[in-house]
Amino acid sequence: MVVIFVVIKGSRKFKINKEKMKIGDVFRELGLNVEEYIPVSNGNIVTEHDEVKDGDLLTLYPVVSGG
Amino acid sequence: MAKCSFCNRRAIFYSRVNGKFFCEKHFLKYFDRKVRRTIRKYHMFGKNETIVVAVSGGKDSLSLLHYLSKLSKRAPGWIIKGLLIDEGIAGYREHLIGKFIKTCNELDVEYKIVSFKEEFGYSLDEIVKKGKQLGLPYLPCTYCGVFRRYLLNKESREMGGTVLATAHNLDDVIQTFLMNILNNNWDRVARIGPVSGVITHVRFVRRVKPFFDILEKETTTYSILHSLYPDKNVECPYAPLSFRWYIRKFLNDLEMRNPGIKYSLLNSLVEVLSLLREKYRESDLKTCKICGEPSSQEVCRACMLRRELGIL
Ligand SMILES: [Zn+2]
Ligand SMILES: [Zn+2]
Repeated sequence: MVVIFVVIKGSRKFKINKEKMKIGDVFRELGLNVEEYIPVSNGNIVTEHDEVKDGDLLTLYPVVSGG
Repeated sequence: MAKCSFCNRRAIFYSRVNGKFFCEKHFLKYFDRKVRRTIRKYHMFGKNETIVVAVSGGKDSLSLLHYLSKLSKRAPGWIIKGLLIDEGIAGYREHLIGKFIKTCNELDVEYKIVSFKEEFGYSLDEIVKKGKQLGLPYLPCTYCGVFRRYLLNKESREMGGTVLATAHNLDDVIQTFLMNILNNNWDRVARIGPVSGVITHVRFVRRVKPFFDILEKETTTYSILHSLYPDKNVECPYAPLSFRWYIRKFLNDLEMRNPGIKYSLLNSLVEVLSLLREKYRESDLKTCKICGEPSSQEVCRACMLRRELGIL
């Protein structure tokens, strides 16, 4: 079982527990579009294909914002 | 852990268009190559230029300022300057201004901040309120767009600018393209190219979009890598009112299902621009009778709006 915390920068917070998952699964779980956020895990930018580890703090940086 | 397709280091970027992974170094290399290709292809800058970068304080424009400032180290004839227009939107622009000043200082770039309030006597919030009271049919983005463009031209010229660089990225450009197609505004489509048309007025500063071929996802990645992403990501409070918001969402959903569709739409624009150039030849700019700035009509749009608002 992996439990992770997700923060969308500047707004919502989530806690997800699931069996094995990748960053892409987190997006699907939250109903978010991978085109619209850059995932940063424990300070490093990661890709949708990276595995999530137990206790990870994932911050999603919105791509859409004024210039 | 996903690895870079070029060197096996840890990947930080994945292109859903070509299935390639990029580490930080190779992402920046790819980014740099793409921007330089755009600059060359559209003859954006000459050997000697004073490039004024229009900065909102957001991630894209700070990234452009950062990128051009670094690139200018390899171009001895270039001077880079930053220009920020403060529209006066409560709770939105203020915290971006600090980031702008900090970045300019770190890059050792000269800058200028100009506000609607100082220039026109009213902030955008006050203008929007006034327009509503008078029953004018304009959206906030109309006032903002017209007054910003007006000040960007005037101020960049006064800063000695020979060219004005804006941070419009691929996403911005195709959103505008699609919006104008849906509204059957082909004369406007003719004006969203990577460079403004031929200079036909001594007071008009040429405009270029070095990020024309860069996805917003890529400028965002660049901004995070260089700590340029704003600490508080506040969206413009007027943005959800706009048509653009829906178009943006639509294009992102489309891109998720069909990776590459954004590039395809951009290529459609480039293709159609060459056809439209014939039909919508840019007429010589006139000089506004009221303020003396370049204008397509006898009176420029900024002066027309100011007159309607009773603040001229
Ligand atoms: Zn690499
Ligand atoms: Zn005028």
